[in-house]
Amino acid sequence: MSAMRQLVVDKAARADEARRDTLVALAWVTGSASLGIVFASGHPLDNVADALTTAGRVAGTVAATLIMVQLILIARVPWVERRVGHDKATKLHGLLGKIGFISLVLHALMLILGYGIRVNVGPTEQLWAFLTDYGPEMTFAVVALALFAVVVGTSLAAVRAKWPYERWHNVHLLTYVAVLVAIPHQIELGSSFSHASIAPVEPFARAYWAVLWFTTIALFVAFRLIAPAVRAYRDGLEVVSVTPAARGMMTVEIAGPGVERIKARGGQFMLWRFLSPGMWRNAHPYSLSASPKRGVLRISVKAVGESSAALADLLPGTKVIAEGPLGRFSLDHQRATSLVLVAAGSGTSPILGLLHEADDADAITVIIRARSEDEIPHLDELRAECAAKGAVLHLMIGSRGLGWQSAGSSHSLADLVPHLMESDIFVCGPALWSQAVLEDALSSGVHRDRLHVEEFAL
Amino acid sequence: MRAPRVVLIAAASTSVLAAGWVAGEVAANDGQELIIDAAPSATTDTASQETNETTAAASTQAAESQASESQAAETQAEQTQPAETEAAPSGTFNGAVVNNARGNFEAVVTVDQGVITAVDVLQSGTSERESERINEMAVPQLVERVLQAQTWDVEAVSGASYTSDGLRASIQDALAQAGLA
Repeated sequence: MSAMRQLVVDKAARADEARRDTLVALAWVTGSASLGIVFASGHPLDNVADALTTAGRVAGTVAATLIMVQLILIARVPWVERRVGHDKATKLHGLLGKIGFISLVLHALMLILGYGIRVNVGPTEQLWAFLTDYGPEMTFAVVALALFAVVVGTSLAAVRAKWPYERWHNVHLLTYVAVLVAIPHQIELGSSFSHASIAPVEPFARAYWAVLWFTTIALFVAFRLIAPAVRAYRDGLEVVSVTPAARGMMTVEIAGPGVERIKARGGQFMLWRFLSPGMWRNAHPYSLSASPKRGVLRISVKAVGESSAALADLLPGTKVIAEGPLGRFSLDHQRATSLVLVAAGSGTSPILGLLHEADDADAITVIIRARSEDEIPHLDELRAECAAKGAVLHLMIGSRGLGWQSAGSSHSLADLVPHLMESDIFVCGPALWSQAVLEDALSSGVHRDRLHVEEFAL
Repeated sequence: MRAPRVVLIAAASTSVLAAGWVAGEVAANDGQELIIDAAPSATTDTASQETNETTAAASTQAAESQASESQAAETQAEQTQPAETEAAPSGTFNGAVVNNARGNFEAVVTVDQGVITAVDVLQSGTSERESERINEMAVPQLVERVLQAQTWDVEAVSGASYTSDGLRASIQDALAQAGLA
């Protein structure tokens, strides 16, 4: 029975991996094709000015490719979401953003130097010439560079620490303006994707570049703007009740005709936008603490910041826009036949969702870490569900210890879970704590593929 | 990702990059063709001719100011080259139109008793903004070098490889017609 199940799980995992690898392959080959076209339209390197110009063109194309990939990653295209997952997409976003910005700066620098040497003009004068003397497309391109610099500058840790999230996010939105405003110069000027590209490549090159941008922007507009708006209108979701519990915990129930279409898997989260005066500007990720049933969605949140605290003031009847379901934290991605569910405090919510759906598992162990029992949302429900599924429940109550366990306890996962090596391990809690749990698992020899973490990094 | 797939993706990407690179090489090296044989300037497109007239006028003026200096030097050189006494060509020679990755290039060379006295550029690149900017700077420089060195085989202007290649080839053709190259 267990061996059969492992085969089924393996097959699904391989298909999942194949689809993700396809996306990655597509990104790399498309990027290479773009650079190939840049090369094909001429790559003179025999003197300094030409070499700088060629290098500058390459850097610009690399930057543009990275920006396209980023836009598609955050467009919330369901196909991409399921392969990459929200957490990984967010981390990748940061990394690609850094590399992309560096490419952009190199692009500008090398072209300023290259063009300047050609016409015997200093860099400042050449930059000014780009801003004022090369036509409106180039003026916009220089402005776009400045906007990118502002966005990247305000994303530095030092600034983010001082600014409220909303302000930072609004500045970050300037990225969209920068991206759009920079497109004309790629098509009208330069020598790769413009009229100046060489004859055999030229019509193809322009069409190719136009298709790339069109696809990127279309995907973004469709899935990030239009689809949510349409669904929001059709779903008609509203807050039904807000129930406070001990220690700043809250349970919010949301209902509406649209709940039926939300095929959320246990463990997944949604992006919630509550349309009340203070909260409508931003969407926040909260996990479902129960599968959608009887037309009700349930989230259990702990008030840790401004926005989560504001939930306590929500009035029933407040309209809600819910995007998703999102996240790869679900049984769809399991690789083994048994389950270990580990949560700290309010991380119990998605864990509970997973537990509800774990009908096929050979063995289940649930481990919850909290300072006191009333920090654990829906503890009674958790106990009942564990009893129903024959799952072993460990509650680690007490003050924080040195590791992920409570003070005074030094049991490792291997000690607590006899079926550790045949299990998927799902972990949800604060970042550092989750890291400790993962390291424990890894040091016992659990394979990375079987570790699943949920972080709400924004 | 598994190793075989990484290798596959790396191979595909590298091939695409290499194909582009090679295509660019071909465009630079073999791409130069002499497309029309010494036809008068009536064949050129009026639009590009207008944009190039200003550069042509500039180059003629530069040539004239150089001519007097180089002529003095040349008479001395002529005396040390007995082989040249047979025919010191004079006249205006229309170089072939040379086409390369960045457009068409055509020069007309004026020779007086074996001395290149003027180079007029009828066509240089396209009417694209970038091409015009390069012409503004590169054409006078290249013409000056040719007049100074009295040969088509001068160093290319930095930042204007294609323009230099195209014009040099056209000038070479004109000088060949004059029996000087």
